[in-house]
Amino acid sequence: MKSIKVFIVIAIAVVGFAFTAQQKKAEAWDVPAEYKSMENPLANDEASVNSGKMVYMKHCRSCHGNAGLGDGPKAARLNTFPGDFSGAEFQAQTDGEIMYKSIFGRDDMPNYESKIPSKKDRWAVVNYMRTFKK
Amino acid sequence: MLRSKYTIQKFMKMTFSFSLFLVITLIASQNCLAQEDEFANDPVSGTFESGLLGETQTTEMPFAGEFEMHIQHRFGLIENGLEDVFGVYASANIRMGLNYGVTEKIMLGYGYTKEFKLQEFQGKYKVLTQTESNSIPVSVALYGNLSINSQDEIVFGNDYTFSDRLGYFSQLIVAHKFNDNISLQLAPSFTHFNKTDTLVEHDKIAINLSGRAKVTRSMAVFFEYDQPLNIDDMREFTNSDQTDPEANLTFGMEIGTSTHVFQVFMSNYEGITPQRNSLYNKNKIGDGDFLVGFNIMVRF
Repeated sequence: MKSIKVFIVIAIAVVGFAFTAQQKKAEAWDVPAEYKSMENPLANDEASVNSGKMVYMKHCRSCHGNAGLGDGPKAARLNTFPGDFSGAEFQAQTDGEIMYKSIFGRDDMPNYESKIPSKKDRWAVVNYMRTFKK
Repeated sequence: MLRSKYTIQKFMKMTFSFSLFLVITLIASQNCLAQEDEFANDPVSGTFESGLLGETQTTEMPFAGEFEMHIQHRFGLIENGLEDVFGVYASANIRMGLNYGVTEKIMLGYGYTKEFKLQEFQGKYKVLTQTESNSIPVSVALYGNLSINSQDEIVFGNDYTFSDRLGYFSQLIVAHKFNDNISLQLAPSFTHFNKTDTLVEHDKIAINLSGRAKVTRSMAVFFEYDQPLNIDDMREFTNSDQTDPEANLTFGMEIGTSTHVFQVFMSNYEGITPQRNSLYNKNKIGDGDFLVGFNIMVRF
């Protein structure tokens, strides 16, 4: 009986380790040119940041974390690291690139076209993600 | 008679106050939003968190092509205190339901309620969606529910026919989102049962006023008030005011995530199905006949 318990503990540890070990850095993501150059029509003001925070807390927080560090409660279960939004690499992107990736998704990152149907909300969440910049 | 007059007056007052409030706020909000032309004609998002708010339907729909599972639970009345832990150990009512967004504007759903073994088929059609600039100032939806009582036919008495099992509920829902935090809706409804208990009316018009206010980014508080219109001129039986349904007050809190919505609340309604609540509610607000209920909604 004891050996079965030990076996189960080892099995859980191995499976858990396997999942964490497999998490890889995201590959390059080519954003269509029309989105890359798309301008954010929403003023980056307090109102839009607050609206964006509401959207972020509802849809993004669970993987990307409260401060956008990629450390949300669901992050460890993903195959790909969800990214650090506070870093220079992320913040160097245009608003259009961030909006495209956030809404259309790929692989682990789900598509949010139906869950965030409002264009205003889509740009507002970009404005909020800009506040993560260190 | 007195009671009915009081009810009508109360209803008129409530409707008038709400209309006035709506008009004033609409004028104010139109001025504020006039600058944001880019999004002027876009539909507003998230007037409510989901298609259900406590006991009432809202103008929200499931996403097109996606399902929404509902688990609704009502404990017993809290009146016995610790004896049954405020109704937790009393007999409960439960509903399981599945809704499907056929398009962005059409929802179809099926549900099963424990009490009276009700099988329900429901549909909702979103007629109008409020725009950011308030060029369309309100969202409007039509909701219909057909319930089939699937208890043994012996409970329907003599001269049983299948239509005795049917109950209908239809509702016009008009909602306005004031800002990111506050939304209100007014929803008149009509209920009809083919067969009812002795001296209980077959038809009932009721009005619902409900609203939600966000208190944090993901948590909101909400209320809901249902007033059945017990109008003398519409009475089927002269002495039926004894069996008139009671008004309902629901208040609680809601937490929304990307895929789930949780609502915990206190309510006078125990029927879950809207037509049962509208016609048969005997729990009085004034007597403190409240119960604890919760709704869980999962989108997938």
